[in-house]
Amino acid sequence: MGRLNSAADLENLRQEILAKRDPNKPCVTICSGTGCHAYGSEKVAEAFVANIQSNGLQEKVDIRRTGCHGFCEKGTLVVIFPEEICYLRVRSDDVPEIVSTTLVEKKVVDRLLYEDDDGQKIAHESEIPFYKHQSRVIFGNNRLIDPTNIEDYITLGGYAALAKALLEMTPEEVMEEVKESNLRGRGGGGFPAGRKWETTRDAPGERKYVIVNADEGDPGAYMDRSLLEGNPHSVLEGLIIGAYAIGSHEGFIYVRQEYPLAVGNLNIALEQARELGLLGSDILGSGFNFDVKIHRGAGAFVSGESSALMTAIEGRVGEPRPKYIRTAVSGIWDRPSNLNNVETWANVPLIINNGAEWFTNIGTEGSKGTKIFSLVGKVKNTGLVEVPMGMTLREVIYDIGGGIPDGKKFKAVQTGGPSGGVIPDKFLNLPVDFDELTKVGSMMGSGGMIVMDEDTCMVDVARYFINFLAGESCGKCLPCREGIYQMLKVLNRICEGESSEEDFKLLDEIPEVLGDSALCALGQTACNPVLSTLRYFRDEYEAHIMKKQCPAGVCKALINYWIEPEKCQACMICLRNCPVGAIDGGKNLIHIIDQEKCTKCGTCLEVCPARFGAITVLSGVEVPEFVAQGTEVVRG
Amino acid sequence: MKPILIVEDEAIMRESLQDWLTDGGYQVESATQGDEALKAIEEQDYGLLILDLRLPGADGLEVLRKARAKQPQLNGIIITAYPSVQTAVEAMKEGVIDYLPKPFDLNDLEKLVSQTLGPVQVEIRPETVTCVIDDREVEVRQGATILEAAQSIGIDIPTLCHHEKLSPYGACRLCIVEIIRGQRSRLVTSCVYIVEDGLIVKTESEQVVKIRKMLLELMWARAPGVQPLVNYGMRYGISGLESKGNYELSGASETKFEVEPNFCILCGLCVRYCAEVKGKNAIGFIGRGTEREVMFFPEIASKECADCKECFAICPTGALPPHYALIEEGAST
Repeated sequence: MGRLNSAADLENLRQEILAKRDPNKPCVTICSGTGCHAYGSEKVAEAFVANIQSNGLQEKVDIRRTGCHGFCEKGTLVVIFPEEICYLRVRSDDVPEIVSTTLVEKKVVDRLLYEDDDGQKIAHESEIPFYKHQSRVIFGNNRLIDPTNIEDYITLGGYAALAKALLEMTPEEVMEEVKESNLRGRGGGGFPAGRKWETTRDAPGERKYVIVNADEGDPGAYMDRSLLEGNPHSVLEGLIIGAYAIGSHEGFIYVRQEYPLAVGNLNIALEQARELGLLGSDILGSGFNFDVKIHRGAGAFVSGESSALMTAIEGRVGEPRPKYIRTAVSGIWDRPSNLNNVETWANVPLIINNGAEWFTNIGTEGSKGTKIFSLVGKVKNTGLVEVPMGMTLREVIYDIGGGIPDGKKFKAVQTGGPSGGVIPDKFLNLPVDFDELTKVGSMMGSGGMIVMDEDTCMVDVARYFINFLAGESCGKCLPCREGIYQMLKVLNRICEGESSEEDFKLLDEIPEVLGDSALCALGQTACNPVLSTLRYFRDEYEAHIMKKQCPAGVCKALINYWIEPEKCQACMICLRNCPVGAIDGGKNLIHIIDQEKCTKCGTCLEVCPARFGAITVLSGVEVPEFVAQGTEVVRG
Repeated sequence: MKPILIVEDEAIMRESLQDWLTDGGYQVESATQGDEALKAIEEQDYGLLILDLRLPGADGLEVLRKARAKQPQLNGIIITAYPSVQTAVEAMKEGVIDYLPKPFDLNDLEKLVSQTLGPVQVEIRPETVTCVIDDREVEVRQGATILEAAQSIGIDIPTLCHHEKLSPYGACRLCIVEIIRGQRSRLVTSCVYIVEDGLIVKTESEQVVKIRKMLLELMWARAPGVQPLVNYGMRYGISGLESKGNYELSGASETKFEVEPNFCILCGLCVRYCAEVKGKNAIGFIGRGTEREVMFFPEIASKECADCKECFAICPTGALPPHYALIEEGAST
């Protein structure tokens, strides 16, 4: 492949690659994203290579390791093209059967297919409910692309938007298109990207920077990671287009050190793009010069904050700076610097290719386009989902996510990461967009969505996030450093049954002061988990504080495990499994938990056979006085 | 001051020199070739030429020779990636100020420039702005912070991390004030907020005082009895914070938060003083969140600190010397 010097060169290359490829030739794609990788996708891929060879099919079948497909719950995912037969939970031992049955005999391996609630098998990926209800305009290409091969991206029309922007449009026209699309930042704030670009373009100074924020740090969120790992060129293409519109010639990708695969694939992508003249000087013969450096972040949540991120790129400790001037005007080395999140950049080529009008036809009045969510927690189909803005929470959680497992009841969904909030069931019909989520006291954030069932204690949830933030506060400003710490102490007291009504006052006062006085958004919004759980689940706080009761039965200090004498069948299972020997009893003798010895690990509850259901979690009540030791079981 | 002309064919070098000196306050122009430079010199009076030795067209020395034939007072600095004794001698004969082999430190170059052209005249902005702080009108220079404006008329806004010799840090947040524009009011940090014309500031509004009280109580839990907190505790009548004695006598605190003392308020004065005034960076922060603490870095501190210790005097709590003692102990064992 030589350097591409025009749009025609790019198109010719695409045609050449297409000519080499037979669309009807079977291709086995193995999801090699982070989730499937952990399941052992590499072993599955190696097994395919070996088995295809031993069957003499190496000339007849292609193998492709792709980025994340999104249905992480069911990994390793294997999709066989052109039929798009989708196999779930594939292990390397399954591979010989797939090769002999599907690739040789052209039949489907039933046992590896998706099975719906009625026991119906579904063979095609696009018909599986998890995929069927999504609109995967950004994320969909992940499953078609080997991220280490630029040819795959180009085949799908990759870099056509760049050619169009650089060779057919002026920077002003590109800027106008993005502004008209009303693309809002996918990283948290939802600020209109076009307006931010314009600020940087119009800011004084010759040297300007464009930056990709890939410092994804919200607990449970991994959509940016999967995009960078699975389709790095889409982000890069967006960035170059943005640079052209803004008038920047230097860019940075700030990516977490903890994302080695993303860093690796990005490096390959940059190298391949440079070789083709899609990055560097005189891109596509347009005369426009632009290059990118990867900056690996040292693993601090606060570095996702724009001024902290830019300070880190300068080579200093990633702490936010206190100035009242936007980084878009004065960022890295005090030069105008435009920062957008991974997903925001990935939207840009689509907008240039399809036009702002196409983009604004997707979504709601105030929020256009699609959004990728990481749907995790107590939901059947854990994974990454992309939906149009405005889809209801119910559709996301039930139609795509498959609802709550084990017949449990939905309690709340947490969105927006640690700065977001919880949304209770009465808002399940809420359309998900930037403004609606804010109205109910949460936010879009970068797209985390943690589903919680009835066994979740909301005070404990707040404590989890506050504990996370206490560890991630940089410690520079007093309110964030000391305030979050004291907030955590209050929550610890509440969960441990040591709180008094005085703590209610602190639950109000600390968030107010933090919100008004902290230096950066991390501290200002740190108490949101407390505020939103208080707003919708105040009764749980009251139960903890006043009655020393944890209604969900989670907070160990407030619960007791108790064996109901009428239900105990003296089967000895819990007695044998108790790790601290806290259960007294014997053959035919009703078992009793010694509350002094019990460490509340919950093992007895787990092992007690469901048909007996003799173990109960008590909270806020005295453990009942029990019959004398050695009482015999009465079997009905 | 006359402008500087940079003659350099290599784009990165040319641009970074130009940026650097422009940032330093100089007026800078550039040329990429010898001929282009000579043409520019004919049209414009320059104070200094910075010349690459090897250039397309006429080389650097030749440009300087021709330029000085017309303007004998014109100064030149030669930079080159190919230093040799011969060219150096030739350059000196031409009367250049210096002959710098690449790579060189841009700070050194800036010093040379400043010696030649004189220091940049800080542009005196006659413009001032007027604001109203606590109902009193104040006129201050443009670019002043609210904190500075308030101090100029004797209004004392509480702060733990501000020092006139050091760059603003915005960490203690005590200096928060309320600003009002039209119908809207907003809380801002006065040590970093630049005064705008017509700004109305309330330094002791109800909300501001409420925030300050809690911040002081939060800090007290870490540094009970340290002088600045006692002072502000008295000023705001916060129960439990009025006296150092109370804490020391009872060993407990009447305040909202349980005391877990380490006596450092993390104001960063020592860290910034060492970096900005002394240029040594012998002390810094380690850890984050409540684990954050100041630390003398043994490699530097063992060389620099014994005869300095100026940071001890700037520390408002007296918590610093024990940190240093740890280093000394470490060195002696």
